[in-house]
Amino acid sequence: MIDNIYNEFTFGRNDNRFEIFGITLYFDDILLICLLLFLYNEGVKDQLLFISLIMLLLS
Amino acid sequence: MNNEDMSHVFDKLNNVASQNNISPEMVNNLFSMLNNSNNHNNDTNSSSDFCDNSSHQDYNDQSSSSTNNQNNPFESSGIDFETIMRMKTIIDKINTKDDPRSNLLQSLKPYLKDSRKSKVDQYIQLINMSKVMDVFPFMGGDSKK
Repeated sequence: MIDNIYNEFTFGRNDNRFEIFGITLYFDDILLICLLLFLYNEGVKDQLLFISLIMLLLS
Repeated sequence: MNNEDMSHVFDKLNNVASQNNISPEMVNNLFSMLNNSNNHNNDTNSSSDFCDNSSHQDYNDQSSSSTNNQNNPFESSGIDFETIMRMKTIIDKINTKDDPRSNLLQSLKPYLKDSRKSKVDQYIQLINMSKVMDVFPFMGGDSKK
């Protein structure tokens, strides 16, 4: 099972990215996702900030 | 409004300006802008009435009123002191550099791709503009209760 999960992750040796389930995530994408999760867990209720970060992630 | 009242208003404005780090030159520039707009309005009104027979007298009246209006910028331009203070508040809110949201986005900039760095600047401007909305009453801000 661990091997299957490991096979889903492809760590780019040359690029700063990895692929999970067909989705390519770069370093800044992961950074924004982690930041969003952190802010959500901390209970931050700044909607405009969340919107800005999500739009930045999707751009 | 006589000259004594105007001088009192000017003194009050200068006191507020000095308390809020606004230079007297900025205040004088604002007054000169108000006077220029007022003179422009008086000139257009005077040119349209010039063809009438009674226009000469009107022109003289308006020229005399323009000189009075130069001494009374508040009355002629329709902008009172409270409006000027609101404008100052809005400009201060836009130019603030201590917003945690803007600081967070700025701190992310070095770690993002170049395409996203430009968007960060746009979003920071968007956040600064959203603060202006708090001032307008139709958005629920600055309502006097």
